[in-house]
Amino acid sequence: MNYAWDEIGGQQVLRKMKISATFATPGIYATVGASNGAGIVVGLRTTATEQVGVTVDTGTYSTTQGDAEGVVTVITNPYAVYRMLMVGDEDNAQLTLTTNSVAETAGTVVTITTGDPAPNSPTMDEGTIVCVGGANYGHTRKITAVGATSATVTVPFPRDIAAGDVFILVPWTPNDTAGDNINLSADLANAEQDVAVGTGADFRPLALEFDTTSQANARRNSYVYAALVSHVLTQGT
Amino acid sequence: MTVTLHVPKPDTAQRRAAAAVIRGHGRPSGRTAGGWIADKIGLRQCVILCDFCVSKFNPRKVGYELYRRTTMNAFCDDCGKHSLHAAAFIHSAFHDAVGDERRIPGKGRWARIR
Repeated sequence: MNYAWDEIGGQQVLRKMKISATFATPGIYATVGASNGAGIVVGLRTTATEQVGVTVDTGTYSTTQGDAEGVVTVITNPYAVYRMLMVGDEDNAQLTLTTNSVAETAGTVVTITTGDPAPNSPTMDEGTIVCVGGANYGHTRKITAVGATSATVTVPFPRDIAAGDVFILVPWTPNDTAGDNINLSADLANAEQDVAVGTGADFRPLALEFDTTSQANARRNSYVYAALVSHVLTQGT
Repeated sequence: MTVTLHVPKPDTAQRRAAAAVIRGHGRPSGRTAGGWIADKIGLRQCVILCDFCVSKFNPRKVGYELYRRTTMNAFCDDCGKHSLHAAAFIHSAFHDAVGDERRIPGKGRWARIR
């Protein structure tokens, strides 16, 4: 993940911090270490409490005498917003497509084609759907109901949904009470699509950016912008 | 006779985070700033320099690049002073993960002034 902006417009704050676990890659978030730990630790993919910030370099933790002390540089702004690439699974595959199989004139129901992921498992209810093929190309809507074969939106797409139209369903909606949290990929850098809405570490999505210049770009160049929710500087203790 | 009561402060996440922060450069006495910075470069660590010390550092020579074109609120790795106008440099290998999305042109009208 990469620093995008500060939600309250502040200057970027960088701090060198001692570590008690090795940070092998840059751009991952850190959490506070245990009571008797030597410093901060790497955040987890699926849960997060007491977040400190996001690193901009790497550090090796060592308890061997003579080794360099493990230190990483951390962006500690509590209201910083970070940009994460949307990926299809934990191994950073591109986003999964859903192809509509039943024509629908109200513009509210997308019916999957056999073989596509079921919208209710993992559930995409309260997530977001974007059209990347068909008359509604580039339009996004919030998903408000799902079934085993369909996803429904309340605000209709502007045009009829035809058989063969292509969509991407993601489990996030900006500033939504249900469509929050982000499950990170195995390398802790990206946001994973194939999880149920509300699953993941404590991030609050603030914006979704779909690259709709082409369907291929939408699959591999779309981003979610999110802030740390459990930052230690906003917890009050 | 004066009695002193020692009330331990509670162990909170905020205090543990604050304890991990290294104030100033953290440079041991006896080390020169140049060698200290060279060690950081060897470990590919982020190098932060205040507006007074930044002119001594040539990032391109050591495979580093400017992290962001804006100034940072940080402690200088050279003199150790807190600065609101610090510049941060990262190793070029980290550009894709955390670098500035806007490429700084190397030549032409909008090239960085050196």
